[in-house]
Amino acid sequence: MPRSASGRWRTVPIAAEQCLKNCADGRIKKEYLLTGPFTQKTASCLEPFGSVQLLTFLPKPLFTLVRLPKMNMRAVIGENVLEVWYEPADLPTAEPEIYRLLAKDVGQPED
Amino acid sequence: MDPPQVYLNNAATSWPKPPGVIAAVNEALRLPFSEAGRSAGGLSSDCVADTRGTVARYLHAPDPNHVIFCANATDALNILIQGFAKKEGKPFHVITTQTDHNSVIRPLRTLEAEGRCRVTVVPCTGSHVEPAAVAGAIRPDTRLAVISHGSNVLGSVQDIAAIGRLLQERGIFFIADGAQTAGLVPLDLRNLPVDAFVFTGHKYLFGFPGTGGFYLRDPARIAPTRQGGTGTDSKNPFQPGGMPEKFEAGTHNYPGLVSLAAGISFLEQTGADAVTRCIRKQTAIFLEEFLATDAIQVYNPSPELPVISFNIRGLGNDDAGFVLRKMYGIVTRTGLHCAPLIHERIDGGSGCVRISPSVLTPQDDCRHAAECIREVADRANSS
Ligand SMILES: Cc1ncc(COP(=O)(O)O)c(C=O)c1O
Repeated sequence: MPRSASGRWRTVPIAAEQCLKNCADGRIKKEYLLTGPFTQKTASCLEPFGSVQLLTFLPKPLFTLVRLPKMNMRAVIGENVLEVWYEPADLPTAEPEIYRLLAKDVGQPED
Repeated sequence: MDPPQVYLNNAATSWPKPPGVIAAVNEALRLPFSEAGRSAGGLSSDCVADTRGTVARYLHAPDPNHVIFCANATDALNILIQGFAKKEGKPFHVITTQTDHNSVIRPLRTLEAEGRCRVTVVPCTGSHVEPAAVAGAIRPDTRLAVISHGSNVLGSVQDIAAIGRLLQERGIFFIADGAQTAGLVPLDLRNLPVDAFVFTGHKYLFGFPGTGGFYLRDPARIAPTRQGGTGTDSKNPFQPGGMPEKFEAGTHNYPGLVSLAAGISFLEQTGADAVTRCIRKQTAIFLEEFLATDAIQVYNPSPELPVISFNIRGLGNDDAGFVLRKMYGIVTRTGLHCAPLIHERIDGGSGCVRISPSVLTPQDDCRHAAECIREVADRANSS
């Protein structure tokens, strides 16, 4: 979990994270367990990060986000798992950015 | 955690394991391994030697002592490839194929980067590697060929008998990677023209992860790359040259080897014909559903193994895998499946969804999963 500018652990709506090994194209897959359900508001918080789509044709609506060239993420609306695929080189900057954007969802200050 | 409703990732590692495998390991864990096999009559037995005998019987390997155990197929391929290069000494040319796995590609490319070999990758035609294409890649300095028997992406089985014959005629050492075929395709190593055959224990042989090995016809062709205790010839400061000690150092994975022997017993009781009938039926169930729609692109419509790779039009493979897992409880595998070269050809390198049932996947589950995948595809393409 990233630290805020003050050096304290920042409160974000992520309860746990898990890095998963996957034989893909060298990207890193991480799963985040959110403290509450992923909502349309959560989706809109992440909009600055990439191109967001809401797939409503599935049994439950699916949030997807693509950030070129190779990052993407997804969550079932109403459930509390967010899956993110990172380029290894992007992970150190992209992950704190995701934490920062998600903090907006629970009204945390952005530093 | 609840088990998945339908597990379709057996090409990675099989689940569930047969009840007899779990029972055999439980039983073996009750006693110290040196005692576990002691029979009522008081004679000891050795689970490593017993499993070696079981694997040799199952693969029709002429000499059980030429069956070598290691951690998995990757470990086996490394021992063989590195050991061949060490024995060879000078740089040589090696042939592999577009269907091969990173467990072949990476050791070969690493040797190449060290200036110890030159690699030629033979492309496939459709889903198969033509023996003529392998013949066409042979150069005067070709000394080694490492070729996957079964593709973990396309589910195709290569004609390693024909390929082996043409390599043998030219004196080229041939390692066949049987990670995907052992347990599914009947094998007779007495007649198959391969110098080494690699198997993994945890896929279709139904053993536990951490098991695998190889059969090596002529041990003199491979130098050992690891040394250590063998429980034999302890005063010798060097690795003993006899088989299997030449290639096995350190304590074995005893529970894993017990699981492997029990997995093979399960296959022998089931019978090879029943396995073949079952996997044909399973693939037919999926293909019937998938090939009836334009919304699903199948990359090999006639796989010989229970491996079907596809993409759903309008839905990325990562999204499709996520939806199937989270909304339908179906476990698939997405991405490149550690076989990047074949993906360059079939899906432009962006990956696909792979499903792989096993003989323990009920047909009703296959039918249900096929319908769910079709439903997702139809929904994604309905507007
Ligand atoms: C064709 C092929 N070769 C080798 C391997 C490596 O097997 P293991 O995981 O046992 O090392 C696999 C596993 O995915 C495979 O499919």
